Amino acid sequence: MKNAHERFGWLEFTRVMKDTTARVRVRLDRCIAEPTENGRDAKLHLVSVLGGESDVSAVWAAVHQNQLFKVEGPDFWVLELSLGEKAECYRGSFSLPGRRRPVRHLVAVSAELAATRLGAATENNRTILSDSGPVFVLYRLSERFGLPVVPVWADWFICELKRRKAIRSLPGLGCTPILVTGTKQKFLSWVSRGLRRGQICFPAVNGPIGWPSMTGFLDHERPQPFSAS
Amino acid sequence: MVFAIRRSRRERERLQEREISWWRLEYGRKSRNFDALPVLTERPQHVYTVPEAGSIELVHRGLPLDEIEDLLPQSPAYRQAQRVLFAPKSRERGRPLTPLHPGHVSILACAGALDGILGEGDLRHLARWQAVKTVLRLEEEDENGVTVIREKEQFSHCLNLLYADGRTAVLTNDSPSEEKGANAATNPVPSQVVLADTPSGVGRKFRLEELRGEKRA
Repeated sequence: MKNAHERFGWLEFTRVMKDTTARVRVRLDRCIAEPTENGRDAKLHLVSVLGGESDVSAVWAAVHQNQLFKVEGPDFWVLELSLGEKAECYRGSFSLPGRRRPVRHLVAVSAELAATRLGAATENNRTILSDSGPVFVLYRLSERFGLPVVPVWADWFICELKRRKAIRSLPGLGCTPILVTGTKQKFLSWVSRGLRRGQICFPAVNGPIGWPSMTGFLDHERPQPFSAS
Repeated sequence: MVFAIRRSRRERERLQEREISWWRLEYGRKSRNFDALPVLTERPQHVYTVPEAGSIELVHRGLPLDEIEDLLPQSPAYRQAQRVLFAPKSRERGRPLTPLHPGHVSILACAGALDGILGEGDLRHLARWQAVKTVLRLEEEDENGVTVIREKEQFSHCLNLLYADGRTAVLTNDSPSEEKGANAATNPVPSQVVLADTPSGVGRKFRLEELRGEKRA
């Protein structure tokens, strides 16, 4: 892919210490934010930044100190927000030919987004997802809540989410994040009702459920997914 | 328009506060009396020659973003975060070499390896096992009035069932409350579920948390 600079954004923060002030500015490749109802405040759910060792380490420390970040990017207005308490960080690095030092990569997720993993915080009714593909949404919800569903119901399930206004798109950089509202009991009742009304059909053949391969927002060549709004 | 001369570091260090104040006052005085300003003539006082520059070579010393973007899917950071951000590839499936013992079946079932559509007739259902993490929070107050909060993480399993006719059931291993146990016992449940949900609680494996038998609307 070419012209990546047009897709990447910036993450910036200033740290004031006793006798020095450090301003750190790193490249941002993915970001998910959630504005509040009043539209003025917002919260970060995902940042993925790239840079040198010292810069990325500074961002890591700032994430754990719940510091405010200034985020900007294409189609992404300038916001000052933080990841909140108990954010999780994943660090990595990769070498590039012709460069002496590897590029450091940091992915930081908020506690709420981290709770969408398999079987965590199943009583919550908010699920933030990094992609809006119908099969991806159904798969992630089924992983979190243990929903007995099959991939062919994905389009019907997305229509149900839209019809019941349980899905909302979130501002994102390099991805199309959504917020799904609903509990396990609610989703189970929808599936149950869909089966009874004949809107979805039970698969004819017994056997394991096979989910298609989904690369999420890292697949550059896939078609643009639907808009939840 | 104001022109100024940048001072060197030594000049700045030798500069005293009263000189700054004097120049500031002088600047204010001249700003009120434009006639006192000297007039620029067409003949320049100094002529500065701009040296001829060589050909310019533009070099990008920043991060090569195009290459980085192509390498991002293999990033170890994204690999660690895939359980939160992506949909990991489904597990390998296969046929065991020898028939499974009941113990093997139970282990595989709890791990979700036997999820899928099972049974026939009225009992044909879609089974989905789920690992559930619960955090037990205990608060203790000692004799000094200090409150100690202990958090204990527990992992258990839960079986979610969806029958072909639309009924759903959730089987968990929580100890049932009296009301729920009574309600579950009165529901018309399939024979397999009844066996698992013995009301007496003796030898109980699972509790029937919910059973939906809604009639067609």
